[in-house]
Amino acid sequence: MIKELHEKLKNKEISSVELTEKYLNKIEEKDKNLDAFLSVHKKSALKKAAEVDQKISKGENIEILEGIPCAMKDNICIEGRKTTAASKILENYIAPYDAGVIKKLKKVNSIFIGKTNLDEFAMGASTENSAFKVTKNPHDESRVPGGSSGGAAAAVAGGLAPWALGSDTGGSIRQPAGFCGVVGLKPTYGRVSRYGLLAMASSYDQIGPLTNSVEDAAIVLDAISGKDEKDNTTVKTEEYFLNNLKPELKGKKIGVVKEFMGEGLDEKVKKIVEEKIKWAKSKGAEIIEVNLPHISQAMAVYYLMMPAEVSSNLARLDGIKYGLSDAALKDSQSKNILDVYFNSRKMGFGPEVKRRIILGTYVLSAGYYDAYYKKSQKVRELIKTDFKKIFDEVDVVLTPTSPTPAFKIGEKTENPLEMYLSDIFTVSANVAMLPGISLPGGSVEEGSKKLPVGIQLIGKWWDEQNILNISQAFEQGA
Amino acid sequence: MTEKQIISKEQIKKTAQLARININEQEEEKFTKEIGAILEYFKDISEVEDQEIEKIDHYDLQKNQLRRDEAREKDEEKKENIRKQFPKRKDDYLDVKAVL
Repeated sequence: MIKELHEKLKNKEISSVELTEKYLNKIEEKDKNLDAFLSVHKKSALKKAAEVDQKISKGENIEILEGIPCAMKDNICIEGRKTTAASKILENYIAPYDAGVIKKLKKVNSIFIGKTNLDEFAMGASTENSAFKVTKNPHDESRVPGGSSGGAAAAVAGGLAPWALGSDTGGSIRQPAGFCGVVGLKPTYGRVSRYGLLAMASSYDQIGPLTNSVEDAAIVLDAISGKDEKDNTTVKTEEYFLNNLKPELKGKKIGVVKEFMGEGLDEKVKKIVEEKIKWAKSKGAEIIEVNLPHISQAMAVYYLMMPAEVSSNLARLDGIKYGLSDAALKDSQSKNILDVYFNSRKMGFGPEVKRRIILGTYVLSAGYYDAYYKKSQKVRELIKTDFKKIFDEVDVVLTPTSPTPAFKIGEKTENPLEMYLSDIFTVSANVAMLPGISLPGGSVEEGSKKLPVGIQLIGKWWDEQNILNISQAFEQGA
Repeated sequence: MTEKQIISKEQIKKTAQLARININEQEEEKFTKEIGAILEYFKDISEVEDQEIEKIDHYDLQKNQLRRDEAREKDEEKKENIRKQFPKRKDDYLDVKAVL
């Protein structure tokens, strides 16, 4: 889609303003049902679009993303705009700076049309934990779009934005991409800057694209990757994913993890994944069953370490420097500074956030640190080692993205643990810091609706090219 | 019939205190049950045996990346945008309640 839009702009078949208006109108028409957006940046988007049109009319060259609208998950800071993390505690917070990825996209004159809904502080797998609204799945509005980047996925799937950026800590780009039938990519940890991404779990978080095609994901990844001096965990890389993108399957070694294809996996989802494996084999790929001995512990590692990192990162939300503050309220009960912390955080955080902060604080506390946090750190290294070993035998690992297609709104909100289990296939990539992509694999019929099912490819460290190329083969062949 | 709970209400209360979050009686009950279930579900990880392995750094981040310890933001407008967000402000200062 992006290349086509770029050609149309270059050839003056459509102007950036017209293109932007088209999407703004779609948002106005459909978003009252979908609730994908928390804020729409109409004026600034049209202003930027007009600037790009000026360039085009002067005969200047434009970059591939230039003048094309996109949506940003609302935990990514855009200077001067509300960045809420879908939380009451940041309801009126105006970011005083641009995220690293925003700086890069501004350089190529991307048109930011708005901020999309998410689970509060990116904690969730359905976007139901947003303090403001519940986003609907465009394929069936009684169902969730997935989470936590549900708004971004719904926006792209619903045709409200050509592409979007989300964030992924345990699957929050890939799982909603799977539920909504779009492509979602989580880069290798260290590929994309986290500067300006409201931090959730600092050794897991990554920003990545949600797009209509594998090619689009490659284009966006090119634009947002690279070392940022403001994020010490980024690494200098010089890769051109679009240039080297080609569908590849013949001779590729695809690993299938036996533990992932068993209990808990919906039969219809299993069938779709098995069909893909069969098809890949028919196209010359070698299917190899691989063993990841510690993979059953990936969820435990994630759900013990992540809350620990969350409890640390969210300590800054204390009602002192910014955000919701009890001290600023007229009827404030706070008598001292400690009260301000306690009351601001009580008022500002939703239940899932409170739950994870408390769990994380406990995991890090004296007496439990060794058994839970330190042990998780060790098992994380074991899982990484398991992956290193299998990547000597295979190029990529193929799994379902989620155990089921999109569930109904309200279906999993009673039991937090049940919600956590929807991450079972995606977390391993975050635990091992590997790149992962979800692409549409097929669909399941539920009543009169067709629910998308995603398939996931996990690649070696820094090997996004391989997962993109193999994905494109699947995309074109299916 | 009493079951040994993996985490008690007292521990949840104490942890919430450490985390500086006020929770009410109802939340105490709920979180004790929910967090207990989560810890219970994942408790097997403490049984995984330690192993001697080579650490994997998927990139060569062997050195700390340093910069000079000096304030770099000179832009008055940016500074003002930050000050504008202070919940309580006095001139250019952040107004907070006494710490001690």
